[in-house]
Amino acid sequence: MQLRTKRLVLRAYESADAAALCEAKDISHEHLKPWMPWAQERPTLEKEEGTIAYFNQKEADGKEWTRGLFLHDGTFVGSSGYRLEEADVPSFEIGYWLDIRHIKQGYMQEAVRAQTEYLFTQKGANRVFIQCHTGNAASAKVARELGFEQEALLRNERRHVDGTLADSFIFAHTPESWAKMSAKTSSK
Amino acid sequence: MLLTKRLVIRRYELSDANALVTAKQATHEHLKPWFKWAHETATLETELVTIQNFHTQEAEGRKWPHGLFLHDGTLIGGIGWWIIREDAPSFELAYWMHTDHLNNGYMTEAVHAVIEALFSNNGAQRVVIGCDTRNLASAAVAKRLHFRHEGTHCNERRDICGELNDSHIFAHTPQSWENAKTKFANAMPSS
Repeated sequence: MQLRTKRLVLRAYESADAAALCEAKDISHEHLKPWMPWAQERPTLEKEEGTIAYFNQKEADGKEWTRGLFLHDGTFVGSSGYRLEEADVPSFEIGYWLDIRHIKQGYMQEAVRAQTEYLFTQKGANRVFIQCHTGNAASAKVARELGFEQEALLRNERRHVDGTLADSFIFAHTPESWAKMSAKTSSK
Repeated sequence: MLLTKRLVIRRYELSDANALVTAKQATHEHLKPWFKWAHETATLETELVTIQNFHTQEAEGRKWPHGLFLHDGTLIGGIGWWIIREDAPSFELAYWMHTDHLNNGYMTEAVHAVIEALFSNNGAQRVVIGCDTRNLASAAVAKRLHFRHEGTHCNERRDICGELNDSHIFAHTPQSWENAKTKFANAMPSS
């Protein structure tokens, strides 16, 4: 699956992307470290080659699809993907992170919108959700701006990277709420 | 094994298979909307396998199915819990009741004992009850025990007929459980 939006291309990682992925994670290290379990240590080219192989394996297993986000000129700006939660619903969870050099431009909103649309229209999704640490304002903002409904605040739901117990927000869309959301934004 | 005022909560033995068949057959229509396993007709053969599966799950250390018995040995229902996350230990609970024994507060008593054990002996930081929003009996137990309704997940699962439906998420943390116990104590000054 490759998705093209006004400013972005969302495509599967190739082994040649390891250097760009490594650079983005390295520059964004302090920005990602508070939220991402995998960002506790600085990346190396070798590790990122492994990361890409892992993404490809997950995709082959039919459970998880991770995409690199690139500007149309090929610049890598971040990463986002979805994971099959319940096959019989079907429901999917979307996750994401941005390179610190490309935040606050609405790129992630654009990428999540494209994937949500794809999941509802092409993959038969009946539920698409986003889960994040209640303190991760940037992540929650993406969900809220796309009209995902805050369904729940789960207490002590996760162990945060610093070892503390943390609460999680669950944001979700159904086909109905997504259709309403799309109608609203396209009429603007 | 947990012992409460009126109940024994213990793992199933193969010798419980007959009682399980009787209870499931009597309760079949009542449980059918909520449990996949209640769609099959229980026979001695199926329940011996069920109990063996329970033992396997328990041995794997992920899931702990238990029977609910009165002190006289009568099987009146089942309760099980499984681990959701290990790094921030959280458990989910599910339960069913024999129709002959409904409305006696047995399940509230059983869930009370199980969550107390999970918080005080198993290091739980979170205990969850997730249920179909139409399963009022299940939600009533959670409410009686002051679980907090944390939210409702839309289209979270398909029911037994294949229809999409929503799930309530009820949860306790160690702190909220302590608060609930204080409330129970104040509400029942004599006990």
